[in-house]
Amino acid sequence: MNDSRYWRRTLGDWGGTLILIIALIVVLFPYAWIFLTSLKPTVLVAQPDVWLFQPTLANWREVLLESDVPRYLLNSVIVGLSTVLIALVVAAPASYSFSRFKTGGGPVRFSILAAEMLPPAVLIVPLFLLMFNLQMLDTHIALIAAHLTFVTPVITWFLIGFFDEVPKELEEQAMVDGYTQFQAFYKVVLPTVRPGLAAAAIFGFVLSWNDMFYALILSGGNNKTLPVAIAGFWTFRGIEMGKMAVAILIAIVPVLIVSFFIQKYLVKGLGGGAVKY
Amino acid sequence: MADIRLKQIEKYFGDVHVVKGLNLHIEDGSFTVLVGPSGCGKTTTLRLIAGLETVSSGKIYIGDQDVTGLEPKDRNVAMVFQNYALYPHMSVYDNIAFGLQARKVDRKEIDRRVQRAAAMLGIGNLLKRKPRQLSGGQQQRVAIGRAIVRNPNAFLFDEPLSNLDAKLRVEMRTELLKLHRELDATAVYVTHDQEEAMTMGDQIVVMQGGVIQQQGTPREIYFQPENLFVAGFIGSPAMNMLAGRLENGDFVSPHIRIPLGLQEPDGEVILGVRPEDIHLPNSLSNRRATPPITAQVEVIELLGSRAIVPLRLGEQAIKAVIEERFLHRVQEGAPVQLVFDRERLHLFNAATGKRIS
Repeated sequence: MNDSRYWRRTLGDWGGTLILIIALIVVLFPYAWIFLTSLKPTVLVAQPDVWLFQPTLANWREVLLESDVPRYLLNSVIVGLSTVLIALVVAAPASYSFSRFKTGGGPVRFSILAAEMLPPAVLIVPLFLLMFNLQMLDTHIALIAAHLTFVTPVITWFLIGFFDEVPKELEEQAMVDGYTQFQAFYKVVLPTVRPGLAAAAIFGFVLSWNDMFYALILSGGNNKTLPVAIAGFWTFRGIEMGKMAVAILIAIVPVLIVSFFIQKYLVKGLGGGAVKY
Repeated sequence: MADIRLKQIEKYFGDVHVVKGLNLHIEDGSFTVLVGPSGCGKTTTLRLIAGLETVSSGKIYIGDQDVTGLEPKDRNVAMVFQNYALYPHMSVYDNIAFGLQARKVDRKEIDRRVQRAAAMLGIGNLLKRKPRQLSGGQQQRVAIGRAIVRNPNAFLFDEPLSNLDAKLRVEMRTELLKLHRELDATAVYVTHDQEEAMTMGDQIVVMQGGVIQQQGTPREIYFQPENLFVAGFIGSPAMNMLAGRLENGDFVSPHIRIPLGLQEPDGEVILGVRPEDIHLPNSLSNRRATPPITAQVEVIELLGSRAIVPLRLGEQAIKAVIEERFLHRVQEGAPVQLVFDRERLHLFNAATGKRIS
């Protein structure tokens, strides 16, 4: 009897491990494939079944040194950082207000998310026309404004949970100690939710970084961002897979690294948890 | 330091009338305890004094100043919360100095005051640590230190010892009182623990339902409760309440007749007698003892040098506290003769709950 239980458990363990390995391969395969593709000379790209080959750095060299992709990378960074900065400045006091004063009650708090649920297609035409009339097409500002429409609500909603965790007595103590409520917010409450702010910032940055839709329409020219640049490798001459692969990697690796670090805060912000004092 | 006066304070939260027509004078330098069950309005009253809540009507004076419309920061009071509310991202030193920085006190002066307070509280070696590295008792002291350095008009304590374990609580009570003497401060202390109130206050204010039931020294509250609520709330085990009638100046109830020689009119009354004022015959001088009353012993709960003895008197259950050396005369399940101490009887009007004599 011992025997059969032992075998069942071992088979169970092995079975589980096998499933995990398969899942791992399925998830990691695209990344591996892209990485390999980036090292393939153009000729071999059309032969996806070739795994062993002489790797070449030609693609990397061309993309990093000879093309405009680094500039587009910079554009993505500028737009991302600006969006996040402005969003935080607006969202932090707003979510504090939602948390402490229950502004507007339940309905308003929920309706912030309604902005999220709008498909970008709804806003794109008015935004495009607006930017066209202001002669601001293909500027950073246009794109930042567009990104703010979906980043700010998400960050606000995300932060409310963090502010709820801060006990009211903390700012009351500061108020009795000699500060106005706003000073208490700034000097005491904000530092206390710093982890939340960091997570929100990164979360918002990633949202902006990945946006393709607004970027494509509002900044197709010199101020392209990375997603648009990547799409740009799909020319009418054919898909320049090797170079596209390099650009893709540039676009996703930073996000992967950063997500790894903030994963525990994402869970907290989305589900709520306890911050111990 | 200053005295505090509350005049005709009413406070509503929405429709709930939480503080009703409160008039209170807290003397300069006193240690006044606001005590009562949960929801009686004591914490709200404290917060009104601090300015964290605004009054619905009425006026508050600290010293000579009408502070009713002032923000907390302008009232020059210091508050210690139940959960200490230490600023988690700052060191102990910065926590204590925070209030002084708000008032733009010069840095050397801040340092001097912080060091002095830290020495008084025995936390001088903890100044560089962060709150999360401290034990509950240490955090408590930092919270108190933060209040001390500001030299406020008054200290406001909101159940500060409730989060500590029993032994630490008792130690801290003594320390707080010592500090109070040293600083000669006006202190307002809120608690739901009647024992804490009795041991700490110069003045006790018993509250219930948003109304002050009685204000007085611990002795007054204990030996001369004004109404049923105060009588029953203060003292452990609680005062025994016997329902009955006053007839011709005597207390009458099934099984009992106690001649009291009172001039009061007849009516329904409640006789209150504390467990420790119930004695075995012959332990009390005849002058002070009532005629013997027979009751049935239920259990004997030995505490050590005394025992709590629940008894049945007809349909009513009472408790007596008997000293251990007399216990041999008492047996569980058997009837026993008891006398009440005449000088410690309280009579209350059954309808209004107010004391008659």
